[in-house]
Amino acid sequence: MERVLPYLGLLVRGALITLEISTLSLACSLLIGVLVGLVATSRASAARAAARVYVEFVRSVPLLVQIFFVYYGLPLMFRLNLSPYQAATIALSLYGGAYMVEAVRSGIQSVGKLQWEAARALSLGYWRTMAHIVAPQAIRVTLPAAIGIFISLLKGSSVASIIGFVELLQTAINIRNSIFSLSPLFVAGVLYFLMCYGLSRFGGRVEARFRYGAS
Amino acid sequence: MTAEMLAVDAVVKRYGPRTVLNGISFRVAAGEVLVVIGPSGGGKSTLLRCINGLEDFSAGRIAVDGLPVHARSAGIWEVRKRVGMIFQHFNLFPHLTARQNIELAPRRALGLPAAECRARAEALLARVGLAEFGGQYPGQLSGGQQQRVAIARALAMQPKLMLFDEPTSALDPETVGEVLAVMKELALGGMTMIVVTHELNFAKEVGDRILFMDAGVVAEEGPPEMLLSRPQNPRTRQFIQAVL
Repeated sequence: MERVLPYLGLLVRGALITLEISTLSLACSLLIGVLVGLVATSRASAARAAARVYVEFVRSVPLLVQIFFVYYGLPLMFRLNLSPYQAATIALSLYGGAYMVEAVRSGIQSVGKLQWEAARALSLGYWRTMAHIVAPQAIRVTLPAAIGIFISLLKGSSVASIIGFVELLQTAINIRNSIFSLSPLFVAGVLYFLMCYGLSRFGGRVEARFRYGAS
Repeated sequence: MTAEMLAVDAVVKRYGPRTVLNGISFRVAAGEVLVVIGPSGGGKSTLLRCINGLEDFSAGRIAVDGLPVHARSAGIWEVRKRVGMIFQHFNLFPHLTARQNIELAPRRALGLPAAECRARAEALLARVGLAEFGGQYPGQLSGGQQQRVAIARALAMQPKLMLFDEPTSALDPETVGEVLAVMKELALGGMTMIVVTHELNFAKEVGDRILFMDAGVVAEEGPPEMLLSRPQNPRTRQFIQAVL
């Protein structure tokens, strides 16, 4: 176990890279989730169907396959050059985005039709109703799901090691290969746990801020 | 002759094969209180919802203060600014305090300065007897208090016409009185009102005219004392006996 000690700094750096790519992917997922989520709850049936296809496709194909597809497939199709970092970010964003669409959709739909009617009777249009009445209520449903998605993105980013992206897991594997011990993987596991647990605690605190009234 | 606030001409509303409003016509003058009674399923709520464009209608014409009502046209927002609506289940915004519920529409739909919206909210809270409850959330208020906040919220837009869709039907009996008192005060203040209700005492005391709706048409209309004590239509007679 003590043989891993000189490599602790390296592992922590790997963890930071994992955190970075997960945060970036989460930000993109959120953007996708809100935009496509609005489409998915709109009246435009063709756009709604397209959103459905995206969500179902991404949720039904393993993340590993999607990362391969983005890293090896997209450059072939569009003649562009993606670094492992870029490919992993795109794949994780599309993956997290699909789940985020569902989180946003269920949040919006948790706000009843009567709220929309009351708003319309008060001359509030779609965007104002969305911003001031629906979104603040939807967030209570969307937020816990979003925290869960962030946690699975953080763990899912380990899959990016397969295309040669050196994050926490790949760092641990590299160290294991040079010191012939499982302990780097054990440390990596602990670091994953600490990050995820921290996120979950943080999420709980944010959720508490959105509670209101006597409920 | 007083100004006409609402004109409803031969309005028909169909849901698929079902005809909910079957060529209904009436007028409401400015300052008048019209009480609409009748059996459930007779189209009373649908009628109110057509007036502010929450529902589209199939044929006929509605005009509020001279403005034509078409649920799908841009002009509907001008109509909605002039028409306040009170719902059976209040439909307050649960994430906002009573005061914020009242301030929201003047601030966001009319774009009034925050200070003015605040002043309107405080004045209206006092007017409905809830001056101390501005900081409470709807979930912390009784049904009667919530409905009074809803009335204040609608009044904050300074409407010319107020629609009440069974405002006391979802209330505990002991809180019905406080809501009716606020409505009566509003009527005495000269507000034009259409009230769908089963409260015949309110109809008699506050209503200028009663409209009895059955099967999507006006079966009978007249002044309260006439219609309630000497109904001409057998359906009206039957209904009034059942409710009393």
